[in-house]
Amino acid sequence: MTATPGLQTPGRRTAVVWCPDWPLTAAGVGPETAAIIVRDDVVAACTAAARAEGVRGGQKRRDAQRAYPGLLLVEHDPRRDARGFDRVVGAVAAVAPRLEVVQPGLLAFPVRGAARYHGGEATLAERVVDTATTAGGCGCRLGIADGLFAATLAARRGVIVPPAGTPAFLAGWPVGVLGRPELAGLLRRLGIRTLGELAALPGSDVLARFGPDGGVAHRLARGLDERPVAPGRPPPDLTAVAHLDPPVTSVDAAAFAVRPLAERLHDRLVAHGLVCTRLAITAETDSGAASVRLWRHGSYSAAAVADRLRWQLEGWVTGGGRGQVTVLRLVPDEVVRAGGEQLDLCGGDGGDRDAADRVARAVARVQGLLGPYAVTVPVPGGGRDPASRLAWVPWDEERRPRHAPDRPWPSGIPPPYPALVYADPLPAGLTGTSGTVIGVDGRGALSEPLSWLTVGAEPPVGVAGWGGPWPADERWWDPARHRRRARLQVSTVDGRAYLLACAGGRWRVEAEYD
Amino acid sequence: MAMPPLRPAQRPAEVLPVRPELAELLPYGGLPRGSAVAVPPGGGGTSLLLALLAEASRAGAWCGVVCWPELGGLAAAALGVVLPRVVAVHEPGEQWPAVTAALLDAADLVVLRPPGRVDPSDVRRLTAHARERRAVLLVAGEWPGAGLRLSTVDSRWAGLAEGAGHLTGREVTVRAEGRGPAARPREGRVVLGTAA
Repeated sequence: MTATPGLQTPGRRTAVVWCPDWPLTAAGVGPETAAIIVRDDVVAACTAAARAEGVRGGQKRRDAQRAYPGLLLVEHDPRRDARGFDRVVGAVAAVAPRLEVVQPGLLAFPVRGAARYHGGEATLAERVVDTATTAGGCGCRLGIADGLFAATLAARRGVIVPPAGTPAFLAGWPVGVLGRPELAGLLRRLGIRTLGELAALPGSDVLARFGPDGGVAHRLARGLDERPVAPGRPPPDLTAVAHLDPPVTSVDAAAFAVRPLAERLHDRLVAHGLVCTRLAITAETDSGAASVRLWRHGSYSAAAVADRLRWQLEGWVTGGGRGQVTVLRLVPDEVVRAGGEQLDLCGGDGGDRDAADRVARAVARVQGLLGPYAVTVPVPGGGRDPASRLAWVPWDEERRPRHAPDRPWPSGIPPPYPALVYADPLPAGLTGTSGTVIGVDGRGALSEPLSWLTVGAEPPVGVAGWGGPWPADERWWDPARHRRRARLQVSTVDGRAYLLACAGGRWRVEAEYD
Repeated sequence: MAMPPLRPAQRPAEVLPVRPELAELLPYGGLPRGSAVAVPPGGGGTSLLLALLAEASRAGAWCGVVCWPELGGLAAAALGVVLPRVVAVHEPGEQWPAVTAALLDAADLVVLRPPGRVDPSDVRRLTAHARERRAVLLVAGEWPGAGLRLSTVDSRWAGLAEGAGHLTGREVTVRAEGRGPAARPREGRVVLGTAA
């Protein structure tokens, strides 16, 4: 492997400030109250008191409430999280320069200059923790290590990893901390349980076996940055500026105005074959004051930028900022080459990078024809039916599953999975020997053995075998999305097999095992 | 591979790799770059197509999917398709020929599910475009310009009884036929989709 400058160097010395259970702190709930925030029916955050009762993040709401029936449920509100966190950002910014908000509750900044100024990393850490604790009204932890990923883990333990000690520090962590549940599951099945074991594998093998995502994971496990940072500053013409005339007075209007700006920025990045990993958003007002924040995120789709501007301005207004917004400015602060993470793993020949660049350009062309959401990529997620276990996510959006995929789903249908999944299930009919229509009775059993299956308008076909019915009572707590259904696998004498669902007395073909 | 299927002189410059048991059926032991291959769905055709996608993507190929929102991504992942190298345009509407051409420019393999009846001029243009770009156009359906056609017959599912068990695996016979060196059809039994 050729050592291209900048690709093999360890991540930059980074400090991360972590406010545990921030969404609950932002909601005004202290750690002594057993409370949870639920998102998509899964515990998104919980307090120390809830953890003491056996509640865990990622648990299903039902299980959490079973563990401790007295749990206080707090509404999920990302805007509240961001608004409250702005206090902390403002206070820490006075102690450490170039703060980045990774997400509400998580801050990062480069250590070198600040540590020199404060007389060492330990003193800096102490001051930042004091400042953040006072401003946030909650306990917080600080970690320092090489690179954002390692620093985030260091913050969990509240430790300062000595320079060059990052690979050793990372080695003991389980692969689950990579935040890539699918990959972690795969690695565990292959007997690779820790970051150290992953880091020890040859890079080219990792890329060949696990693809670009595996390549990124391998970089992280070795204590390198997620992607090689493109050398130098981004070209200046990437900055997107909008002068608002008339000036905008509401947060919503500003969030609306920033969308076309974000799209313009996106087009310029595509034209340069770049991806922005850190974005500075500036809002200037007629009073001369300005709100500036650095945001780190995996995607800067128009919606993602609008959300961040909204959080930023709401925090600014809460903090006493006043005036009309006259100028919005988006400055990519750190960019990487699209698909560049493969570069050092394929021996620097650039072949794969060219392919990824070519695909990115073709995607941009198709988006030009059909709009930004026309091109999608498959992202695994959790769910009980085939359609919700894999989501097609727009190319530009963050490729994160809506539900974590490696959790057991008791009534999920076991593999093999159907190769054809219908968004609009086809009507179906099931009949017995004497031609009686077959349904599911109150105890969840078939009213009679199956003989014939009719799919859509096709003629009936003889049934060869069936499995189930498996009952599914989905989202029973949510009247709008509640579904009670029974699922059935049916194979026919012509060698085909289907996944059928019965709801409200009607059978439909949800998928075919083609 | 059991035997070298052809004289080396007739081999195309490059093929995308396929599973060993399929390689035995294909004249060049893989999917020749620059060719159109028809794989009609039904009776296991979709799984066969995903198995082809899996081997190619594992070897580093980028794959495009056009006009096929029903394609089961979960089945794709289970059959070994490297999801991060897949891009899909599910609903290109009237623009599907232009979208297919754009993806053929960049991807190594493009899966097209032709929407309804296809104009012969589109068939000619896209087949030629695939040849020019050294990409494989994998058509989920019939394609008059295809040099190779892979179909499935005699699909047998295992695992289901009368109201007991669940699907565990399936075997099909894959039949490969086409023009030139593929004129003599070959058949082989292949396992597509297991519970593992």
